[in-house]
Amino acid sequence: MMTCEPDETDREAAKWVDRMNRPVQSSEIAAAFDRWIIKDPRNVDAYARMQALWQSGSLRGALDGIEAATAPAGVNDDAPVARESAKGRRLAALVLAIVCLIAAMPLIASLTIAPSHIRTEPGETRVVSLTDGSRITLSGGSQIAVRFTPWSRDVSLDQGQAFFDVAHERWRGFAVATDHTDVEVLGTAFDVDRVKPGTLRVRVFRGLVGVKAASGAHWHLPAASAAELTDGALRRLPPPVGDRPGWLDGWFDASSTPVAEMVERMNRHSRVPVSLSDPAIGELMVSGRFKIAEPEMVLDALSATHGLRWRKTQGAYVLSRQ
Amino acid sequence: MQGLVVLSNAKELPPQQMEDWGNLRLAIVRYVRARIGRADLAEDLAQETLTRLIAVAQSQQIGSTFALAFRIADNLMADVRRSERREGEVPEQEPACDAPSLDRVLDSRRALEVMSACLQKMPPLRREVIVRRRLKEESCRAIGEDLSMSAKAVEKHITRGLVDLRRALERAGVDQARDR
Repeated sequence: MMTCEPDETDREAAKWVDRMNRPVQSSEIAAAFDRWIIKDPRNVDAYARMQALWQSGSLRGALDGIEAATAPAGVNDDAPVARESAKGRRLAALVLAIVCLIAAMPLIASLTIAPSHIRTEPGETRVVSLTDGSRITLSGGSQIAVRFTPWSRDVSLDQGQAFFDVAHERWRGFAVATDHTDVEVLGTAFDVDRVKPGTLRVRVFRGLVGVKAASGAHWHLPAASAAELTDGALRRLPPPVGDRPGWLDGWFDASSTPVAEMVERMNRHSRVPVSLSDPAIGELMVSGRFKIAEPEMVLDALSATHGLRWRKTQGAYVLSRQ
Repeated sequence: MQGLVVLSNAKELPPQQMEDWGNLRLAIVRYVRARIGRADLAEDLAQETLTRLIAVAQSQQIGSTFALAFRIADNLMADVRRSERREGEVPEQEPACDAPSLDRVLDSRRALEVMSACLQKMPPLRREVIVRRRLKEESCRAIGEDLSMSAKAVEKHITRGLVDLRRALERAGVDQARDR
């Protein structure tokens, strides 16, 4: 690792620290700094370390010690007499620095604010009002964890589906995380649906959502648009209608949707679970608007479309071939 | 990892700008992480930095976006420290860290000793320039005029002085960036 390069990087970093700590920079210098930062991520590290050094209490303390020792002797501090008193003052500065250090110790300790967990049973829809004025409507069989700090509002959608109506805050972002995706908002209304592991459906009713895939590709979803993300690929979906998702009122719009997905959705809304007698039934496709909150109506419709039948047995609906 | 970012309520940003925000975010995370060591806290602070930066960008012309972002992040890190101090908890144990916090390492007694020794060994002129620049916050031009040298020469002294300090800290094992 001992090449000439780190020295050069450090020299550059030191130069930029000095320049960027001046109250005013010319636009050429500003642009040159931005170019240098973008050029190599290691430049960010070098700059951070040099800036930390420049801003450190220890540098101040060390300079204070020197200044105190040299002040009576003037600018030229080569006089050896100053050395002894410098030692004493350095010690004082050192004690001060240690006091500051102790005071700063609990810095990170209390930052881990425990999240509160909220979950719904199948068939239960719950509206959660958050302290910032945002509202989350949780579909059945869903689970979220909410963690607010003075500078962030984080929600993780661990299971199911939720509709977010976010209060805009100038200083504090609002983020929704799932396993593979983060949704960050400034004040908007959108629906996030964890269809299955690795697949996420986002419908935007208000605001603007930027989508970043693992490949680095970018898209953005303005209001009245929807997309599905599967393993880093984005597929546009038909635009959502209205200003809130249909499931809030118990509706589901299927468009070449597999029966298996319909069943999964019904199970979010129904206290009595729906199962398939044969997994192959799950691959049949359906389209249309369904009253998802009333499984018996949906099962009637599915049976009529695909020549199936259903029965209710021991606390479960079973869908099978005729 | 996929990510969605809602950038504003109504306006659409051009794709180029979206990418710039992405780069900026990564740089801020990296900057904060280099200083405080903790990845999760870095994400939080980066988010907050971006939010504030967007607010500033809407109301005024920005020179260097990155420099401003790093400055906002500096202030947030200082705020976090201050609020922690106000809570007045007695430090008992080191919280779990991804890596030791550089800022904390640099505020150690050892760092103070190493920096003092290094400054003592510097040419007096360079030491004087650093004292004036860092402690008295004089401009390079004022320092140059006082000490009869060009602003460029002042800059060179500061640059060399800082690199000397870095080397001294590395040699003493206080800041071991290169080993990572």
